[in-house]
Amino acid sequence: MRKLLLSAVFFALAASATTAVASTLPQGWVGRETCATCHDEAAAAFVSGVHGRAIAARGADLLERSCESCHGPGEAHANDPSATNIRTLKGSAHDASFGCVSCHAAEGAGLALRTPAHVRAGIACLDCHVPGHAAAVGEPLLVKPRDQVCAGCHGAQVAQFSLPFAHREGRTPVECMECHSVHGGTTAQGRVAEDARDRCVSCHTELAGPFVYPHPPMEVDGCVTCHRPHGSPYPKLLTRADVSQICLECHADTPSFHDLSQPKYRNCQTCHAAIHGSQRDRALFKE
Amino acid sequence: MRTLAARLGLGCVLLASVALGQGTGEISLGAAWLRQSGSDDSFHSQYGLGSGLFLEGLRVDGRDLLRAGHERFELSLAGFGAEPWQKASLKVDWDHEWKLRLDYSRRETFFASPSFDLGVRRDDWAISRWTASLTYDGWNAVRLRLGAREVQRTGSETYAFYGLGLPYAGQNHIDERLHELGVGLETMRLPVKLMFEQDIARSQRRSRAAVANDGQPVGVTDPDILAVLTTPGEDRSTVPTTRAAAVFRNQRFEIVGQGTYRRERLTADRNDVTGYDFGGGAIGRLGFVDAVQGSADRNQSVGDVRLGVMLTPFVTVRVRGRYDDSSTDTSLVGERVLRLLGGDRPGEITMPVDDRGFIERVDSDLTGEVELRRGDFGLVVGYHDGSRQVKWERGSGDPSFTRDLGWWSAVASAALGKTFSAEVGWDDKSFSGFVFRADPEAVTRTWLRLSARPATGLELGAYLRRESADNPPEQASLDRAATFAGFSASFTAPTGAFLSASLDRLDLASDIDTTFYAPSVQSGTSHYDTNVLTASARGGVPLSGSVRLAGGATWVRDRGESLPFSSAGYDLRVEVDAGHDTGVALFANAWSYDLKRSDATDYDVARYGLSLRRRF
Repeated sequence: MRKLLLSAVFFALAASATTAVASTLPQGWVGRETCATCHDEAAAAFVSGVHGRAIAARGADLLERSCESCHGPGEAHANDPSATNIRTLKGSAHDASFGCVSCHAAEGAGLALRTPAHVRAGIACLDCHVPGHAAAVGEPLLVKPRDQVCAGCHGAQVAQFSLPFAHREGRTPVECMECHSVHGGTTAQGRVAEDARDRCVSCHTELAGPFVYPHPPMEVDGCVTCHRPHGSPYPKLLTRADVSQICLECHADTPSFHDLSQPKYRNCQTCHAAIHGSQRDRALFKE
Repeated sequence: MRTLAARLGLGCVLLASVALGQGTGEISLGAAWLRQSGSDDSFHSQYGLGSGLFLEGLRVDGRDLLRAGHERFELSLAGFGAEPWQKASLKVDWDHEWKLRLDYSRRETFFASPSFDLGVRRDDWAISRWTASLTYDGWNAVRLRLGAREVQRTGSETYAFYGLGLPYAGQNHIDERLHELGVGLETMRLPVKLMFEQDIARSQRRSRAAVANDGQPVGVTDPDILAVLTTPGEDRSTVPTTRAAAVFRNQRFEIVGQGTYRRERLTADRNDVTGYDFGGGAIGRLGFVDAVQGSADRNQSVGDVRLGVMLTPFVTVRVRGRYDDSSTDTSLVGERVLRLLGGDRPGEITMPVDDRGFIERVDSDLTGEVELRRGDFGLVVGYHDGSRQVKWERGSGDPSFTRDLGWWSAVASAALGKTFSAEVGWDDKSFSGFVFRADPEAVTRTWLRLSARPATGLELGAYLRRESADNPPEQASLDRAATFAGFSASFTAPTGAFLSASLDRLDLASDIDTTFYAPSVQSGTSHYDTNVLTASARGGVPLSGSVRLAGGATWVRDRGESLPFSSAGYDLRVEVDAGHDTGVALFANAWSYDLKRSDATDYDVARYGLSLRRRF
């Protein structure tokens, strides 16, 4: 009798909880429990995965909405199961990503506007990330190991990390996302806006300036005027084999005593040592 | 330095392993031996790997050790020891509201080359970075983020410089630090998402120079020696940065506005002394003193507004406007002193310094794009209009430049489900006005990218990109062409075996007219030509349930005229699961580098060793 009473109380509470969750669902939504009656494997994989755990931590009502957050309202699909009345995430980049950006607003802001190159190429969230009910290979929810996700499209850049002088950590290339923000203006540090030069000087702080005597190309076009950030056949990741070549392409006004037939004048930086900018010397002789 | 870091790192590892022995995780410790022929400097400039113990990896999931409510406690470390980099991170989430992230990284840089600074150049320094962020997500309306960052560069650099017409050597002891604190707020429930960040960074730079090479000139014998080289000054800067962004989105509209204001204030106090002893000191000493104070105030304002409208389910229009103004006011005041000590006529000449300058760059851009997309087919056509104004003032002849940009672009993409996708693009930029003589007047790019997944586990990819740029003869006769092309294939079997291969080609050629004096006026051409072919292959196969073999090879060959070389890298690794949560791996690497122009930097290196893995 006692067991029966306890069971009745339990089921009453459970039913009221379910009713409370269901009552918060928007018009046309059916909730995760209903989806799971047919898609039990996907639903179970989602709940036990990183995505599901994160959503569950925020509340049972959010978890109940999780399927339809991405796939759209499911009432019509539940009544008449068909691929045509549910969002399958196999359509355009915008369609496929809309479910993601309904929660990931900061990242999604970049989807349509902040990363035009990715948008132009039709790149969507699910090209790099798994949806949450599939096994992720890398973090966060990546379809491939972290160092291979970008390589699929950016082979030319990846190949440059094999050049003799490259941005490497021993044998391994520096991770793309240390410098690039794949979702647009928001960087890995969570910042809302950075420019290309900021990426370099976030590590190479000694070059951040400002300088009393700046080298104008640094101020105008930034580091890539003279350096190749991924890798180069030449020391210091320079764009030319000889330093004097880089200098002379801009400096057509070198004084007449610069006799370039002598080796000492072909090493411009030996005299103009403060090539990135000087705090005390107009000719950039000294830092 | 490296030894100390290695000891500290490995000490931490062992402590963590003992302390967290009840948690779950994995530790992998290795030992490596290096055998080398050829240039040690060259190999270390490119890879920086050494012999000795190293931490291949440590991962600890410590949730079970902590009180209930901790959703995440992950500690990971890697790279300490005989590796030129170290990394550590700690991720802690608790009460569904708090997130703590601590990251540490250290990268060691070594550089020495006979082609730099008369062969004297020797960089041996490291950059260490600490970043910390604490996010509170417990309020309904706002998410709070606190951040801190510290960056240090320490070590030394040896360099050459000219004095009295001869090259001498100095050595800088580097001590640079940057500290940054920040706070950020992000709204959660408003129709418009607002983000605000305020940071303040302070940096300090103290480089202490000293005489190197015993004061003797580099590569020659001379009785005049460098006797004194001191740089007791210090640079300090304070940089507050304010960032704000607003994002609104519904099914049809997206509007993003963001802005940054940065105010940098730098002061540089210098009291540098350079002294030369004539005849080894027997005749007298000539000294140069720079007693100057510099200041540089840079203000940067960036505004960016983007609007996207989905006119129909197939047509989206985007407009973007950007404005970026960076201006710097500078001054240098003090005196420069020429001092003659000893000899027949000791004396001193003082020259006052009062120099002021200004540099400003203003960029403005407006972009309009129309995207047509139906199913897996898309076309984006855009026009970009921009201008750049640059002005700098420094004594006489203050230059000012305006450079305008017009830019058409088009990109088409298509996909056949998940099986095949293609992208073809074109853009054409034309500029009017030049800031630097090598600036292009026209830049054209075309590209094609294909990818296919014809069967389960099989992926194929190919790309081709061509770029060209030029400017007119009255400017610099710039003529630049680049071709990037590549093909890749990979196959992953259900058993876990994989095989991948890629071939990439990079052709770059550039000609720019130069004019110089040698000693009479001469015209020449800066000709640059590189033709790099990179081939790589990787594979891995489980030989049995407990043995796995993986390896790869990369060959690089540059046949261009500028600085042809060939290099190769090979790696092989055998992992054996020894049972009882323990594993052993044997590994071997080999690298070679062959510069065609000279043998001075060639090397052949083999590095081999073993690592032990233990799960706990």
